Amino acid sequence: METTFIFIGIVIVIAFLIGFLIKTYNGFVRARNRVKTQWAQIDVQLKRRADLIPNLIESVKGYVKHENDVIDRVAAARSKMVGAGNPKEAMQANAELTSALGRIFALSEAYPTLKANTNFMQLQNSLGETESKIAYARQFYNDTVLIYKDKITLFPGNIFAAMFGFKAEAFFEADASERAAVQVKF
Amino acid sequence: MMILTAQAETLGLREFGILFALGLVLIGYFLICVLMGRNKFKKIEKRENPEAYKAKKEAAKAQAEYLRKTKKQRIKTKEEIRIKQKIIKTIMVALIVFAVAVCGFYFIFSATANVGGTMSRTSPEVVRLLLLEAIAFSQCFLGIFIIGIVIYSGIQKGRVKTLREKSTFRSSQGIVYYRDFLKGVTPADMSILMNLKIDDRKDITATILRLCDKKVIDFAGNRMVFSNQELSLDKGESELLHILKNGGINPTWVKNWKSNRFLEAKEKGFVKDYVYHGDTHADLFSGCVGCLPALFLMMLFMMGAVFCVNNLSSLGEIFFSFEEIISQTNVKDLTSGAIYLNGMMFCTNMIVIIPVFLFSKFLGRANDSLRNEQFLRTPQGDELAEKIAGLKRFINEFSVLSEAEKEKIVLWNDFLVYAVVLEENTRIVNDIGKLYKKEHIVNCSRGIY
Repeated sequence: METTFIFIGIVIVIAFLIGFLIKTYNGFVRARNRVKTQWAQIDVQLKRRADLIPNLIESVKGYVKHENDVIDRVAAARSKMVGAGNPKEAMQANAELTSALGRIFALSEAYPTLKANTNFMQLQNSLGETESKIAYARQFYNDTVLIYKDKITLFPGNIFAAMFGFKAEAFFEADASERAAVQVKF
Repeated sequence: MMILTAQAETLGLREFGILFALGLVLIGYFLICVLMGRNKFKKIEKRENPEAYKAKKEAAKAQAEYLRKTKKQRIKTKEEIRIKQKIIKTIMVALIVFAVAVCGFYFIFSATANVGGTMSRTSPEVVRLLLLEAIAFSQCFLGIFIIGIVIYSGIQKGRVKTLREKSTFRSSQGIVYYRDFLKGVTPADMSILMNLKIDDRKDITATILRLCDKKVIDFAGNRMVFSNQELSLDKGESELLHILKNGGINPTWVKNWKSNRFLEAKEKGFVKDYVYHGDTHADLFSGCVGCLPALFLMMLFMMGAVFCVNNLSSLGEIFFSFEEIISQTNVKDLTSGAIYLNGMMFCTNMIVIIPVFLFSKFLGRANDSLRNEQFLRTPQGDELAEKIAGLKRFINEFSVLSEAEKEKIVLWNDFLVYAVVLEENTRIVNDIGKLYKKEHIVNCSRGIY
């Protein structure tokens, strides 16, 4: 009788441990998938931004005939972003594109007809909106990375994470050029 | 059922069967009357007012089509979780008190019982008998306490049911996560679409946070500072700003503010007044059928209690029999008596508990209808509610906005406001709630500190 109770007790403990292990593993997988999903969302916004650039270049070309270098910079940055091989490259290219677009929008101040063009205004608003969405997507990405990191580094998750080979993902950090103070020249 | 079959053997299976069949016949007769009455009223309505009848049929058809294309979804709110936890805690307390009472009575009976012959106080038969006696006495003496618990649980259950109905909407877009801002929707609108309610603290806090995002209010330590910025504010924001600058928030103002927000939501087409357009006869029929299981259960328990009461003289014998010396010869009879007593107590308690519970549940539901105006979401409101549910899921699973402080509004903008409205962040509600007091408000334009 006693042996039976001990056996039942051991079975219950083992069942509990297996259940806990399954729950923890699934939690890690879920958190990691959310990090990947959120990165994909940043990608969606970057692609959306890249799709707006050709229309912008077409709107601007007719008005600013002697500013080809600015237009070329935008086109080059866009190509670099579309052809980026990994997320870090894509974000670096996006930073370059933002800088190039800033010059175009600053340029529009010198061309009132361009500035008043409805298509140009619409594109400018859309690009601004997309840039905000990229910023929010980055913030949410960092939060999902934090949630995942907490799961795999806090006790007792860190034991199982090491066992199953779950590794922390990197936060998205702004590079030195983005952190530098913006120089405004008049 | 044990007690019923035991008594059935005593009284005769035939009498038991007759009573049971009579009960079923009565229920059947009741159902037939309701069904016939429903069809009769429908025919009268069709004859006397054919246009209204046709319009009613078409509206019912359109509603059925809408219900077919959409499916029910619910936004779980913290209030519902809180009330469910209260019910569980109450039941746990009741069970603990009952267990303590049983243990207490067991120890008393164990200490005072006369055990003779080859039996001892630790013999399994004696332990079983004393436990059964303890349970029966606990049922008797804790009767009022149990009824109190049942009333409280019933009222809370009624409240939960109302909350669940209010936070249920029809979804048609299949949105899992919604990651964008909701244009033209204020925090109060979101709260109304979430569960057809406005929460004083949470929604006022969210509106203050929005004013902060628009740079109309700033937080300087534990004070609110107003800027002179004049921006386009919606009605709710303007009203709140005005009261914060001129007197501080009070209960009368809150009541008016809430009422105005509902009117606004109605004007925007998110909600409409609750007007009953259903089929009265069908609903009456469903209501009557819905009561049947409870009536049937009560009928069974009543029959059990009647059989027990018929042998009431035995009850006295059972009570006095517990004073007898427990021995090998009478332990079986005493145990049967204890089971009989438990059955009788249980049946009697159930006859009281079931209607008390149902009535308390009804009270819990009626309380909301009597205190608040009733609204329904429109199809446009349902679409927005689906987006709000997706947004709540997204904020819950993809962010740590639950831990963000109010100063993070510069980073998160409307997402932090949504986190407060959708009950993902309670820290900010507590922080800003402390700033409602007049002495915490600073008015830059008038230089008052």
